[in-house]
Amino acid sequence: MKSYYKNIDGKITAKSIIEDLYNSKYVLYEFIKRDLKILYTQSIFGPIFYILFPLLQCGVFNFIINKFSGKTEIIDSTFIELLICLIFWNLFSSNLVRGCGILIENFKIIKKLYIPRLIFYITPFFSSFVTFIIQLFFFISIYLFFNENISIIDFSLKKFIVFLFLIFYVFVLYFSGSLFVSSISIKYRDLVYLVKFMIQILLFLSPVLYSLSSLDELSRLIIGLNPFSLVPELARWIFFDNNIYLNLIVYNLIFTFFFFILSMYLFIKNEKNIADLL
Amino acid sequence: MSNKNIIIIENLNKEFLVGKFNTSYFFKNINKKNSHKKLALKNINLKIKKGESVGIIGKNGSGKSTLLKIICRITYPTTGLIEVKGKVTSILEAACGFHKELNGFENIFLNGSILGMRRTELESKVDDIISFSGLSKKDLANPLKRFSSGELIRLGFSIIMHLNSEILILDEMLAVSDKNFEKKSISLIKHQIKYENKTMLFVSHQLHQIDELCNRCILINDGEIIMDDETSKVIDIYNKKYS
Repeated sequence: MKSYYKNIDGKITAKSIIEDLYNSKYVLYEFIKRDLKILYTQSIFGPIFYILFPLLQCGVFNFIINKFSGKTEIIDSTFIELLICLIFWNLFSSNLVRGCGILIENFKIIKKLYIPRLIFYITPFFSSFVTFIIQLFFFISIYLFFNENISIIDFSLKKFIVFLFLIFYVFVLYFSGSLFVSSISIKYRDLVYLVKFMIQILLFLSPVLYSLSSLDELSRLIIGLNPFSLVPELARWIFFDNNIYLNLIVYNLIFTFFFFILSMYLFIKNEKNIADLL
Repeated sequence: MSNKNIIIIENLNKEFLVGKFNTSYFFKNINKKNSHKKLALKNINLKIKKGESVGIIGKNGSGKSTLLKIICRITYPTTGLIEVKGKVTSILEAACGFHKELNGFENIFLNGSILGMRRTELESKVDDIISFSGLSKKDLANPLKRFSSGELIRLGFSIIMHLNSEILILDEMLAVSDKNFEKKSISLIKHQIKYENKTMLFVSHQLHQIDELCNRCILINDGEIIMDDETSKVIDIYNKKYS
């Protein structure tokens, strides 16, 4: 028999979840394709928005930062620093907002068909990953253009591995965040609205617009408690050799690990009620 | 092989919370006051063999669709055991996996994969699906929002008819399409039951369809199985007592 399931009082095991996910990899592929195709339909500029949005965002933030610090250059090192941090931030925040409401977005399918529900959470990340890659290439070309003495070959293997890990970390953080919020909000949807609001504030509470090293000890600790703070800090370290605070990074890793386990537990516990309560 | 049980359900109960729920004012939980529990399915015992085609009839709200939803894992039973050996595909709505902005071809692949087909399988079957639906390739190149609702259902149904799953669950599927398409679909379903040894479950209010397709029929009323017998006998009882 190809597939078989036995269900006593609605119990779900971790093994069955992984098997289910593996069996439905085609659905994931088709979902990602769907997302990419419909992203900029009926628009004139289409893919140009991939680059235009972070550039505009970055320009405005950079203008404000420079205004307060009295600098006059339009494109300088802060601009490039901001660009990479904002690219990572957009990957995380846009996915988190979508991920929290993903069950409501797909309720038609959830109520009528069975596919592993975790697929819905994985899809947004991968479909926005294409955006991320395009923006990353754009960033690297700017980075190399303004740092003439650095070539891409100088990149050590260590930094490359950290960079790959960083993408994985963003995925885990987004995944557990949206699982946590949406499994709580299956019944009460307050948290979904809260996240949409909080994500704007979280941008200023994470070291995207400034680096941790520019802060004093106390505020560094407070900002460092935010699990996202690891991402822009390590991105700065990779491209600009900034100081990193190892104790904060270790704390963030541990936090995210336990957060992931907690949200998986919550989700598995609530999964059987999804179709009834949605 | 044909005597093997493919679906086994033992002592299955399903409880629903009915009344005013999903609302709360501030932190005061008003759920408990205004809602009560209702047994949608009571002590269901059912065995379905491989290759059988079973019709399920009953009044609206008697629990037919809930039973189907439990069989295909959309919801979970409150207590009881359910065992399904084989790939189940349930179709409670023909067009639910479609996306309005994509064109017909893309939607065949999208919906087919949601229903559990592999890409290679879909590629080999896509011509059959298109010819069965009766839509021209020119029509299919349009985005789905330009389709009429009848065309949508025809496209959805022809994908369903080319699935490879061992167990197929159809809920009120044939009620909406026109006469010609209905005839075509019924003859294809008959062919699949006879030659491909598929197990099928039908829910329908059109008793003549059930009579035509199934040799066994289950009558459900108020969440309980009242009768489980040959189709003609069950339909007789249903017509006399429950309608």
